[in-house]
Amino acid sequence: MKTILECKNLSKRYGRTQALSGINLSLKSGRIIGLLGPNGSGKTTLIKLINGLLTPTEGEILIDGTAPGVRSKSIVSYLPERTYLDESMRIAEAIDYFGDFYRDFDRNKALKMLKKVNLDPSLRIKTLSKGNKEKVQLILVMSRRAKLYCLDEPIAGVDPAARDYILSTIINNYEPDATILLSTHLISDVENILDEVVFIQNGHIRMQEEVETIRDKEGKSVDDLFREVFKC
Amino acid sequence: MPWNLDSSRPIYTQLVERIQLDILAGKYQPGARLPSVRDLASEAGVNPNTMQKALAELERENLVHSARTSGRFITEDTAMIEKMREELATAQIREFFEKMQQMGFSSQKTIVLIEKMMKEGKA
Amino acid sequence: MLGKLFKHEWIAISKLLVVIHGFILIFAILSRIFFEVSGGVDMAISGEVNDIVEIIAALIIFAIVLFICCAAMFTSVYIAYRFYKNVFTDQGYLTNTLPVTPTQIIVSKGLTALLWTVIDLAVLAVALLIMFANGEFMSVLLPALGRVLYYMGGLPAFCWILLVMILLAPFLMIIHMYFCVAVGSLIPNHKILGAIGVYIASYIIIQIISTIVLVITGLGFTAGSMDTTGMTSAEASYYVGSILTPMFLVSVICEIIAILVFFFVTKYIMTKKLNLE
Repeated sequence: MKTILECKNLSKRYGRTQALSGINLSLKSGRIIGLLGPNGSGKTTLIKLINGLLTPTEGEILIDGTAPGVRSKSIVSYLPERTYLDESMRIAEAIDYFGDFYRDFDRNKALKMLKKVNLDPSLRIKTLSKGNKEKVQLILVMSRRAKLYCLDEPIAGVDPAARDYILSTIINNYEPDATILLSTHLISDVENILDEVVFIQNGHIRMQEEVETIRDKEGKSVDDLFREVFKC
Repeated sequence: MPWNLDSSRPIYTQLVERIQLDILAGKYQPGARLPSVRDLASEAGVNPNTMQKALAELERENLVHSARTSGRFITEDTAMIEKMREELATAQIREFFEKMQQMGFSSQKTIVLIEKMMKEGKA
Repeated sequence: MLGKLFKHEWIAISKLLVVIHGFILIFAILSRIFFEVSGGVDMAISGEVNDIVEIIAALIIFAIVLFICCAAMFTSVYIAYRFYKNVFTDQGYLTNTLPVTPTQIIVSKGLTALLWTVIDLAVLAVALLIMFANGEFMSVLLPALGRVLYYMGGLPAFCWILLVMILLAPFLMIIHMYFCVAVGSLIPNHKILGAIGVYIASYIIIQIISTIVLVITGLGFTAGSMDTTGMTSAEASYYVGSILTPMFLVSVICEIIAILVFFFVTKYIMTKKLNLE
């Protein structure tokens, strides 16, 4: 399989804080990859670098062979932790917005998914509950046929029913040749849908491994291994 | 997670076992069409790639076969299904007898016990 | 992509501004009806009808002046706020990950803002005309406008340069606000306060620089002691032009430099120093 993301000696400093130090990482196409680490380990920084919201202090980052820019942004679908839609819009307007800017956006898919969760496209985003706003964003992001999906903490702070909805939405809309990079600290909830995990701590990559290999070799779950690696 | 998988064992082997059991138990009839990889993965709450791998293993065991475009079908070889079911049952019984042995019941004694329970309608 | 950015920016920014400017026009029309009913603006305001009409007329005139000032100010502030909100707050996570360049974002927002600045001025002028224009007034205004257009052909160079200065002013105003918002965003947790601070500081600096420029160019051409006594009007015009033309030219160049500096700093911050919390 070909490489979708490559980080070479990637570092990011904020003032005196070193958020990422000399990361070398290569991710292949067609996989669901967990970016796992405690809070403040550099997960979000890495995802922001991939999306061009930050620029590296040192090193480089290549998405499908090019540095973050117009081309990479057209093939990366990003779900941040924030509500990033203009809340005065109606859901249908947000769909138009995505449809206009992203050539890989599948409007029918989005409408179908909205219908499934009983959200009327004529509703204003402002009037939705927090959980429904998150659903709308997830639907928009997963309705793109992107090459790389970056989902930053998609299941943090949601109830079990919403978590199941989010995970099944990810599985159902995942294209076999795309890669999903999913950052979380809630490992037991997601580990069954992962192909591969990347453990990150204090801005360093601690481990990159196939999940089945971990279970096979260590005879323990990824969650257990994580607790061991990051024991205080 | 709807399929209740154990995260400390390879998911892939658990999927193989689970689908095997479903086929042997008749949840999927011989010759019937299996749901798509994506639907099965979604139902089980697992990665589609892992499900794909599990189905490939079942294909290798000849329990399922894939038609070029229309998906995967359960084998129509009922004799084979029957044989595998017997094998699985035999393995279970063997394990049971071993446990009984550890408790000091000989095979004879165990069978007497089973017959007694059946007469009393407890099994 | 620029067209799509422009379209969506236009839709987003127009929602509120249409309401505000529509309100002013409706207010102007209703006021005019009130004046007409009470026998004309002059009659109403002079108290010849009665005291209540006079008070209401005075209040209406006060209100329209207030509304017009507020609408003009609100339009500028809203333009700046919209840029801040869309690029440097949570919405920035979407705006800055669209497959477009920062230049396209600045240009699309800037053009929309420019268009609205023009519409704002036009609406305010129309509102005043609706309220106060009568036959007599128009009979003065229209020929005057005609004469201005007629004389434009023969205007001395410094007037043309002045016109360019005036036309550049809205560009400068908008990109200056964007610059302040962008620089202000670098201050964690106090982005708006930062933007206001940058605005005040940069305003003072601009004033100082333009004063210095004026003094230098003015000194060179001994402005301030323009003595045209004893000259024919053609000579006077030539003399004044010879002083003002280089002075205005330098101002226009400074304006263009400022626009470019503000643009490139804004673009640099959006590209390299984006600070989303």
